[in-house]
Amino acid sequence: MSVMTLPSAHLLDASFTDEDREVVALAHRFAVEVMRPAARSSTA
Amino acid sequence: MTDPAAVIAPGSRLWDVLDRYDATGLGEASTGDDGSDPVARARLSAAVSEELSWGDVGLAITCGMTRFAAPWIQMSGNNELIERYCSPGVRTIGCWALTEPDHGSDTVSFTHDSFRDPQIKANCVARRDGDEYVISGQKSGWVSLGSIADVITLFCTVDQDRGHSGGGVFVVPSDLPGVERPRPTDKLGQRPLNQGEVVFHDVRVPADHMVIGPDVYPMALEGMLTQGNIGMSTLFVGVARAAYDLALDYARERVQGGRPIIEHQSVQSRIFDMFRRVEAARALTRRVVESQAIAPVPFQYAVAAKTFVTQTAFDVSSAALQIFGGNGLTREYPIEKVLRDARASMIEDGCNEVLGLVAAVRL
Repeated sequence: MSVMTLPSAHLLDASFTDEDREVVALAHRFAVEVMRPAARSSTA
Repeated sequence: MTDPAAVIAPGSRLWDVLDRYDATGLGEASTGDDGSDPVARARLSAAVSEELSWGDVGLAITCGMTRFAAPWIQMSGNNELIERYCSPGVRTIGCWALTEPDHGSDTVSFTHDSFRDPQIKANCVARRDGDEYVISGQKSGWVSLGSIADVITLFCTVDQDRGHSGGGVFVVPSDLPGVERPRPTDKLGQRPLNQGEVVFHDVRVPADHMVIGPDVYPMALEGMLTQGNIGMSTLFVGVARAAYDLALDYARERVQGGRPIIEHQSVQSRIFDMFRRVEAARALTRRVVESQAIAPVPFQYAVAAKTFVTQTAFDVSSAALQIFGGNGLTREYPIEKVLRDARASMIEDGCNEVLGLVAAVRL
């Protein structure tokens, strides 16, 4: 995932390295692609 | 809504989520000790936690609890336990069993005299018998992951003459004879997060499974509650932000009076109020997260963050639902679920009012 897709909530996290941004972006993608559909479809 | 027993049934979506979470490596990426700046690592961990709970806080807690048991098991020094549950590639789901059917706030009120009152009898007690402890009694239906944990981190009474302050911490494999987990709790919010009762019928554990004894139990409990409250803060920043994001998106799409409602000043004002509440919650959370990375944060600061953030998550979720109008009341839209999740947090890991009373003694 590109660092450009980091959620805007982290706009002020200027101290993040590019590697940090990739980790946060991965977590966001996991939330969008896995967690929300799982919560909606079968568990919530 | 899905039956709580179906949520944790073999083959359910929950296990797929856990498999896919393990595959991401996110647990190690944000918490591993790689020699980097501990404050930077803590900040990254908080950001990851916020993202996951933005997705779903019940599942975020579930994923996090796969890493809960290991430190306690390591404390036992028992090589058999360590090899079985802490070896690389082994997923060990942990749980923290603290509250009891008759004792919720009693179990966390460590700054109050009642905590040391021997007349207040615990529901779950461990007694020494030779080289073993025998555990008898019940923990409440609020043990997160209690129904599916591989290892139970059990906080229970050891020295009844000291009341709840005479506790100990035990590492209890959940497959030991006498461990019963009757049913998962059916509840308002965070429904993907399993919570359930754990009953101990004269469960025998070797003495080395007690990793904290009564002399230091109050200090250990305070440390655990401090860490838990900081964790709750990071999680519910994500919930507050989820509510804000949903409201903003909806306000941009929903048309009333011939234009998107975001163009109405009342809605704009409320959306901005939600934005600044989320920012304030995150700022307070980051303060305790970053401090904790260097030195233990005093309890009252952790409670200030937890109670503020969870209240914020509820307030922002409620405000968001109001922007959704009638649609927000339906299960067709996700905001009602976020509101239910947020509401639970004001009681979870300590009722906010009681946490405040316990912390106020430290001011």
